[in-house]
Amino acid sequence: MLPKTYRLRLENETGQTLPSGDAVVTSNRWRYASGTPSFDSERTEYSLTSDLSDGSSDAGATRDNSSGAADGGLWVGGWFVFEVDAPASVSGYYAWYLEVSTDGGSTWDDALSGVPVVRIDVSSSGLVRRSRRLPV
Amino acid sequence: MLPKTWRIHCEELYRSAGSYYIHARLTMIRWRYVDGVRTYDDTEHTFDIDCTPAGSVYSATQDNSSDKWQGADVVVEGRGEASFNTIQFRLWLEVSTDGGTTFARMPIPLLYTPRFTSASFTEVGRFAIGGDPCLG
Repeated sequence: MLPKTYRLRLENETGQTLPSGDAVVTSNRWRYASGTPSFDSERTEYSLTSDLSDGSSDAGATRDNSSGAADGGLWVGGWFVFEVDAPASVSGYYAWYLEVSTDGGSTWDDALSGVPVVRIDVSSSGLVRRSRRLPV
Repeated sequence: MLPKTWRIHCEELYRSAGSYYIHARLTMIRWRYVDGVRTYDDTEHTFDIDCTPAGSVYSATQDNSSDKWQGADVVVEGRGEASFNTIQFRLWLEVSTDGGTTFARMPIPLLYTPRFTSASFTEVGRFAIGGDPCLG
């Protein structure tokens, strides 16, 4: 089951700043509806909204999976696609972590201590995509 | 859960000489939960990949948006053209969250074949796609 309250964190360890807008995560989640599985439409789970310098990380928006969420929540799982457009002269990796809150979004895992979801090694510029099923 | 939109990528790893074709046929028995009961598809689902160096190495896009199959047991059968000597390939699961415009592959291949030295190599392997209904 996806956590009741979660978010994604992106780490940049490439030696170069990642420009705003050059990292995005999308999903197709699913849940049970009247005993049978049901998909939602594509959703943006994470979007880099400011430049991310080398050696730093960025936490995405809080995702509410409770029954009180606007979409009804209670999503069991999902297929996620992680996309990053690496700039020139990169050498290293990008990584995303799944962070969980049990108090509705006030406190979270310490930075870079969430569940590692994907690591994308890069040595040249360009668009890279990887998919993962969550929960891990 | 099987992805909402997915396909199989056939990646050539080795060939000893010449041009060739790999005809990979995937036969799937799919399942899902209906009112809490695990239910199998009435018929096998079959699709082919014609893996050639110059041509498409992807299966047709598989649309699970309506059927919402949660898992599948898969048998892979293959056949090579007579012109090759030794070939090796692996199969990747690729996922799309945007309905089939862009795809991203999962980290571990579904199937990693040995080096076949015969033109006929039926029942190349077996694997399962999908997961525990509680984990997603």
